[in-house]
Amino acid sequence: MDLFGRRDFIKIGSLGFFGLGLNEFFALKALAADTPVHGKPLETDRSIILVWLSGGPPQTDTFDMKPDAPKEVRGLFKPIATNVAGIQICEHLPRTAQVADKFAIIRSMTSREANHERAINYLLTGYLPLQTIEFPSMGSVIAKEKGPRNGLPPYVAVPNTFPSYGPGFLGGAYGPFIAGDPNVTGYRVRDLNLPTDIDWNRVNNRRWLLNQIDQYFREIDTRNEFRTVDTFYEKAYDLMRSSVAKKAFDIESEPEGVRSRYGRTPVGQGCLLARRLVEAGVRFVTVSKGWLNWDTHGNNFNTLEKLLLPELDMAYSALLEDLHQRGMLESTLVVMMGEFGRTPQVNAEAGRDHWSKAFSIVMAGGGVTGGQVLGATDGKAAEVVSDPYQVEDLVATIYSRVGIDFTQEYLTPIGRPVKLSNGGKVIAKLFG
Amino acid sequence: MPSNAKILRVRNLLRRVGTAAGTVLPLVCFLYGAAAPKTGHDAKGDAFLEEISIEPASIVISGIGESQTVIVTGRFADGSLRDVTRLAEFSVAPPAPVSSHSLTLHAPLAIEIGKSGVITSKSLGLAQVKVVVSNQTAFASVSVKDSGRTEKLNFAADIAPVFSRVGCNSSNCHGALNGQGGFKLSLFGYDPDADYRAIVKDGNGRRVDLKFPEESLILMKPTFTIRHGGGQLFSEDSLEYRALLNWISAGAPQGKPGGPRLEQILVYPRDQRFLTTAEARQQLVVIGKYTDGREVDITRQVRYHSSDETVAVVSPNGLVSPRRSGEANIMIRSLGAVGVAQVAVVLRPAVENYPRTPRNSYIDDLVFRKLEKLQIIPSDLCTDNEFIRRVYLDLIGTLPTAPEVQRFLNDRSPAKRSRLIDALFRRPEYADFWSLKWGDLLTNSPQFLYNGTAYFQAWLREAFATNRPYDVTVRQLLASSGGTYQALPTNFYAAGKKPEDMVTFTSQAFLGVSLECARCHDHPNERWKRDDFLGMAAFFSQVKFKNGVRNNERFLYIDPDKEFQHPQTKQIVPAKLLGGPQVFFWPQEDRRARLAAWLTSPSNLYFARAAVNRIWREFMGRGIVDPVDDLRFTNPPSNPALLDRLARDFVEHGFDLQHLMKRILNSRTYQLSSKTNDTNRDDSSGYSHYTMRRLTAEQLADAIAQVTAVPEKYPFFYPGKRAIQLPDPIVDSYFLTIFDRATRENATCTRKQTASLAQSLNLVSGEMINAKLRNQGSPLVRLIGQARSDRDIVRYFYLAALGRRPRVQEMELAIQAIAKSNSRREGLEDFAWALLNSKEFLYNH
Repeated sequence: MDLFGRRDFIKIGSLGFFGLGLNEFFALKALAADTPVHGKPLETDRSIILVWLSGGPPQTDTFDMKPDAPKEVRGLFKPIATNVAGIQICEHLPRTAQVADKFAIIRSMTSREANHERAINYLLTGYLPLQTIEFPSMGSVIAKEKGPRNGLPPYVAVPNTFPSYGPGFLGGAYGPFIAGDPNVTGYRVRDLNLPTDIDWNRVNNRRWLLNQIDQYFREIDTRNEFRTVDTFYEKAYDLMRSSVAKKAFDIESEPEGVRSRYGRTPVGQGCLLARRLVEAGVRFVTVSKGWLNWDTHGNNFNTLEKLLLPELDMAYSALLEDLHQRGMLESTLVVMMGEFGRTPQVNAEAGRDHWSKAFSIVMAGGGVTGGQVLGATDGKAAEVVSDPYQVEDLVATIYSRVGIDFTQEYLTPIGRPVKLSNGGKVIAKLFG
Repeated sequence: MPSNAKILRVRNLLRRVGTAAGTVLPLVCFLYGAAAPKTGHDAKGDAFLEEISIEPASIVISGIGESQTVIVTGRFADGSLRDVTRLAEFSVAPPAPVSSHSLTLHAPLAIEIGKSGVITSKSLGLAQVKVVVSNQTAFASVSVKDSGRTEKLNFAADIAPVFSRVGCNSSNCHGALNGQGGFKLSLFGYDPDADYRAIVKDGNGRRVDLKFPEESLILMKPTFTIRHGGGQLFSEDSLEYRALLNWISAGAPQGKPGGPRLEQILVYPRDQRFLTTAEARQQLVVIGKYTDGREVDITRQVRYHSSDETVAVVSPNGLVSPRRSGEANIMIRSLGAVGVAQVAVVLRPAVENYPRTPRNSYIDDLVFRKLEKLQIIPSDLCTDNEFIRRVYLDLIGTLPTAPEVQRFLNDRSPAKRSRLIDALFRRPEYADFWSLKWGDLLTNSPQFLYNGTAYFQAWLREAFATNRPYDVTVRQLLASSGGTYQALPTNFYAAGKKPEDMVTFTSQAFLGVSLECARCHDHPNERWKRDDFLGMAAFFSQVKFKNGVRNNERFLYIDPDKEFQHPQTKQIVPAKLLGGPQVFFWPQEDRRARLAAWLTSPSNLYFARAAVNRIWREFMGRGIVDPVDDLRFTNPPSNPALLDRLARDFVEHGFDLQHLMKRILNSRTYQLSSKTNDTNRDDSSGYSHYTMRRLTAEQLADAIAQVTAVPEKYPFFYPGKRAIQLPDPIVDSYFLTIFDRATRENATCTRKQTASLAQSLNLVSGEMINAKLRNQGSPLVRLIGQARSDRDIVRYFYLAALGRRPRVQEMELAIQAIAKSNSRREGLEDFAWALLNSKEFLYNH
């Protein structure tokens, strides 16, 4: 590959007007380089799709139904059988019930935090927020540890990034790439294609010139901010050049039947885009409907029955079927969760409030043994009565599935060591 | 003559307190009366010990067998204060005679003193502690009083502090709103009575086992004898364990409920202390004052926290150690009371011939005086090029045009910077830019204000355009009534729905005080109690909204009889000013006017300080108190004298914002270069150099539009409407969004300003720059059309984008690059693109 396209520019560079010779420029370029993967992916090269139910879904109305509890606890929904004997889930998740053999329900998750922002930070980073340290999200840690694959951003947020999605103290370079809402007609990722009148020769001329112009000014930066900015430019060039990226984001090339099977909703098309991205090499994709959609303090049952459960049911079941049919389920861990559960007691507004002592999460693929339930809660889904799992365990489990040593320590900018998982253990039963 | 061994011992000790090795000999000379140099410094520039003092200087010990630690501070010839406790020789002396007939002269001494300066009371009476370091002597008086305590153990006084110290009652453990694992303590222990119930009574009393005290859950959990989500917090041989075990063995008594309570924490040393070598340490002493008048040494019973652990760390017993040069605050907490100690770490060698920097005003005096203490040399004055670009961006949010730059550079007048500052206040962009900033602060967004945003923006704009005194503006915001399209400041109220919201919003915006915590419980880091919060809410209870006359208009009116009810007890809460008295009103009186008068009064120190701190941050990149909406006792200003002086200046000039801004902009401190030197590279809070920062979203969008002479088109606005003129964040603009414009979702609203892939992609392949360069109206096309040379065009872009002329090499580079392009037009476009993507363009510096 001829990086600059034009030898004349190399000649100017070799005159060395501005201190930074071509060698350094190549070194900078190498710094931002990909780590391509050849052949069959290793087991530890799995991807992760996080279906994020922001706001906190009610465990009693989804995956931990309590039909024998008093009415003010069991609510309005009934359980239905799944394709696995003995496992029941909510009647408004009928398609999901038919893929129960592919997922495991953990009914005994417990958290220490019932405030949204803090709990979201806890679930996505493995740490309760601290004023002094901004912890990196799992997606950002994976981006840092594994790097890009096939020139694609390692960590993508669909449709958008939200608080606690970020790279924290790892720095801007490991933040999520924002995909936008794939459900809009004519969806395309913004700014991925060069304007028609600018070809790569011109782009390379521009890069070279910019690098030269910057030389005088670099000394002013005492906080290494410019380095971060440069890294993003390099990533932008790589991404625009990537045909893999263009193809991966081209959701409109998907057959109409597939698109409607996922559901023409932001969550549905989000899951479909996630599958395409993972297929192309993205390592971590979050799919969410938006911010705190599941925070049903009032009108819980209507909102769930009419809106949230049907679209999730379509999207999630389609995702598992699709991954299975493509033989990608083993290499893709699908985690579905929110930041906590909701109160067993229905409140006066027909809603449920925050509840962090016991909640359910659902895991599939990536080696998870489907068709099983881990742990249990009491008669009201209020307290965990067997196999309690902490958020730290969940985080350890997710890291271990992609071959990241979760006991390793990062140093924060102030030199404080931070373990990737704060003392968690892998939830071994998931894979038993 | 002293033995060599003794000299060696003293030398080692001195090294540990922070006198550099070079100081040792002179100090030893002092100590043993050998000849000493006359000046305050030895040959290497290290300082001599000039004086020592003891803290606390006047000690009260309540009860017999109680202890009190003292610290000894040496003042050195360079003015620095350092801990010399470990060098001190302590002895007990008779009390200072009150008169020559003093009867206590031959009474037995009331105290004993240990080597490390720990005093223990032996009997009631008076005594003195004598301290000798080198040839300096100091005394502290000690009075041993009857403790007045009748009970041996009191939960609130003796046991509750344990839970604060090990962190059981912090917000992420049992102090959380719903507790943790079914066990709930009051946040940071502000309610010991409730905590006693939680520990002894609740959970069927299973937390405390009176028969087998060692098997109490309250001991087995924190020692991790059984599983505990919070891990191990203390061991079985710790003070904490023994205190709890003794208490349970004694039957877990509560003692008298309701008292005595910890009322106040006194922290010694009181002034900022310097740590000048890696081995230096500073011991803190913490005294708790209780409601029954007792004073108790609680140094080992409180929780310490360093505001910056890269600068200084603090041990669980209050020993501070340096890490790197800088300043840190040590926060001390126990049972809802808080204290703070300030330390400065100066690990770099003293600067030889520290330069004297010219000073333009008291700002420079106060900033440079502090920098000299820290041995930091300020950067040089910025160049005229740097100044014009910086002051335009900071004051009017706009780049100077090429002709404006030319004119300024050609001006030979020595007062030209000051004149430029004056002139910029007359520009319309001044009011645009500051109403944008204040729109962020006052959350001017349709999310809150419906259709009132443009009205509110216009009103804010007028306040800046006419330089309305700041106190007048705030009084109008706080006390207006009427329709949101007519009485425009009423839009302020649309942002808060409930009286409680108005309290947090008002205090944050105008007092820089965060009261959000006190909404539900006593503030953990501040003296504000929940009652303070509720008392403030009562000022807003009369505010009511109904629909206005016009579409989507709201109408604010006063319901004079509407009282504020306590959220739990439902009792009427009387209006009470923050930290002030209860207020009595005339019947039917609009309470907000009283609040506004008190809030904006010149005697309300918070009001002026919060305002000058915010303005200072806008120009200097960091508040003197930082963050700017967190003014509190435990987050002290980095330069208290400067904050006070600016606030006084602001008040004395009738809250004149332009006066304040001129004062700051004319200071040499503001006009320092952003290029750093070896001494100030790591300085982030001393204002020793300008802090470079990326242009904000609006500044950047406007700058690109101005340099390319192609305005951006925002939906629903005529072309040419600039980003700094937009009324609210709902105006659709992907560019402004990815460059972190304020969402105006809350009043804290600190913009993040991070780099991202979306930004780079947009600058490289997006329309923002490319379409503008291609546009037929761009200066490229125009200058080419006027048959101007490449050199002229390159010069234009450097002036317009970077506010300076190109260097010779830069010009040559550009000319060669353009000449070798496929076409002249392409070459010029590529050059302009590179310039608009350069760091020098993207950053304000």
